[in-house]
Amino acid sequence: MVCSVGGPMDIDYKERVKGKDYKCRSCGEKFKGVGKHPICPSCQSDDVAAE
Amino acid sequence: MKYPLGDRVLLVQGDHSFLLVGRALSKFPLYIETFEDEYCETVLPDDLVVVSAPEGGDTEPARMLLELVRRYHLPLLVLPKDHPGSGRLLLVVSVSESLHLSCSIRRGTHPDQHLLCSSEELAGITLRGSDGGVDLEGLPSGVRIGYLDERAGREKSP
Repeated sequence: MVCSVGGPMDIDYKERVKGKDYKCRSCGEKFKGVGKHPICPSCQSDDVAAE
Repeated sequence: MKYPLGDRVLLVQGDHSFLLVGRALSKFPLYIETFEDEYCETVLPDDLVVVSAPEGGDTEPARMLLELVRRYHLPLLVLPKDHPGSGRLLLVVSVSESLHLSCSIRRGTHPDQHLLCSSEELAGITLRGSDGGVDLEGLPSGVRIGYLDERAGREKSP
């Protein structure tokens, strides 16, 4: 009754993660964000722009 | 069925495996590290931090992992597909507003936070965080629900 760790049904994650490139307008940090509400991982500002 | 959480940790227990479920508690950027790249996901206070122990065992290491993520913002490491270390992972964690448990994925190899590896007995459960609590759907019969006693690291009655 334990989870399969090698089953044939494994989902290909490359088709599921869609990160966008962002640049923070406050500190200039560049990062790849996922999700609807990206914030800068460096200064936590939400003033970021998609590149 | 909805369960209030606050800062408590919910224990969803099957005969041979369990889940711990907690709120993220604060807004923070969470790093997801894959073999190819680094992603940053914004975590909101009502998002869920869910630790799955597909083979069961002591709940205390799972609680520690949950707290490392939600209080200390530990980055999530994702193994490449077919990595031999996948089978050694006794605990896996996801952080998301909602997520689905599946036993048909390889442990620790999926950066998508909407999917988490579980045992067969807990597969199919969907969890959604909202208004300080969690909605659980698709609970199999026989699954026991309680809150974790943080001081003892053990289950206590709701």
